[in-house]
Amino acid sequence: MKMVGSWFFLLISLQGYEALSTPNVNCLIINLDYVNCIWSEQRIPEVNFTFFSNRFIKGNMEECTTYLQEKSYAVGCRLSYNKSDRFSTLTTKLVHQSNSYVQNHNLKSMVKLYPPVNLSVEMNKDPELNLYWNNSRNTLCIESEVRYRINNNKWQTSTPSKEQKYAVAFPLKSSRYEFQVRARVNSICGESKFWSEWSQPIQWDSMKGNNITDISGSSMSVWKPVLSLVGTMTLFILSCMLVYRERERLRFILIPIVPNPGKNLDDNVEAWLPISKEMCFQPNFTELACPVREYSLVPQTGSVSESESNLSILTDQSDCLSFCSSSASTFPVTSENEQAGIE
Amino acid sequence: MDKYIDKVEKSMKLTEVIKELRELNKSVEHNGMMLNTPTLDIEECCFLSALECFQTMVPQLKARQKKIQQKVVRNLKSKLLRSVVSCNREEGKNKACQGCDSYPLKDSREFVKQLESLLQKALNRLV
Repeated sequence: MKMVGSWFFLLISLQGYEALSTPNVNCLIINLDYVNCIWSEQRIPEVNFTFFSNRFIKGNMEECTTYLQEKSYAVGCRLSYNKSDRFSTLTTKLVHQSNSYVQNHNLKSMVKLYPPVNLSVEMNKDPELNLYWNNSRNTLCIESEVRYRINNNKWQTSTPSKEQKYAVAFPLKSSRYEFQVRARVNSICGESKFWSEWSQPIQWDSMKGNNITDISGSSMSVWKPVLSLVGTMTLFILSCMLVYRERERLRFILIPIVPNPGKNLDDNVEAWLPISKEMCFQPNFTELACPVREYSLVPQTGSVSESESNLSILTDQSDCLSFCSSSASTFPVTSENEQAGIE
Repeated sequence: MDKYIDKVEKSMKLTEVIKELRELNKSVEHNGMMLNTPTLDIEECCFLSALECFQTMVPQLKARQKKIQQKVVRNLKSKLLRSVVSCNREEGKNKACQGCDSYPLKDSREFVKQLESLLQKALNRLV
């Protein structure tokens, strides 16, 4: 009896040990598009398993073609999914060295859809706030659930329905509504155990009377960069026009004429300075001060007649004008002229 | 357009039968009765044969509501339903489907569940 008891105890403990090291495969159908079978849920495997599977009809087990990796270990396998595959038993086999673990899976309810997309809200005349969306799959087998909250209060959830629209009758004024939707396969078609994740939220602000979403922000923010760009371009065009009109003045200010000191000043200046010969340049030029006399009338009879008054300025003009005719001559500045001129 | 109407009619019929089956299930005394239950792990073209096996077994269920039981049997025999489940005739001739007795024995709860799955599979293929 003792022997039997100890053998029994040993057997149980060995089984327990086996149970710890037996990997457990969990398969989930994603969006009715593909299947993810993972064997790492309890712990990351320390060994690399080879994965095989078959769907009843094919006698042979096929090896996984798309392994899912994590830290260089295979943690799962991605399988293709064909319509109604979830109603067939999926057999999986994990192999490592001489050990193999076989499991049968009933995947009918093991479906998780992608969240609904393209949410939109509009107000109609009833008044009624209408929410519309698209499910990730186009089939009558999907039911959706809506939740909404007013001004960030508690969420209110609708009963699931096959429609892709939801209405809130008599929406509150001066309130902000936020909506989210999720979906799953309905009961008649073989209900999925898991709901999809909640969709991206959409908001309705009754004061602004328009549709705003969290992702894109308010409609005003779209216009801001457009308006600033238009403004910048207008300013640029105006400044170009201004510059074009005042180009001569600006050119004079910005780019003054700089004399070229490259030429030797001893050279004949006449050669590079563009003046006509009529100007009769004289290298040894002495400026002649032209005498200017000013006369003022002194009334003698006591009455001044303006029409008769003559203010004549006499200058010794002959001296000033005749110097160009005789190019080489110079006129000395006489003391007489000096006295007369400087006043 | 005809195909669309046909599709709608068939899906409505299938929905109706699934609902009736659930109603029947509520009135059945599941006291451990064992029935040959066809599996869904069979060739496509054997589905009609499997449906026929189910249909012959349903009257054996101990149901309090006899009317609903008869209605389910009548619907399982209907041409419309059979047209959904059946496959291409040529393929059907070549495949040999197993007899009703060869299917494993399962309790009545499992039997009803399997029948529902068969109907749901047909519905999923349709929509």
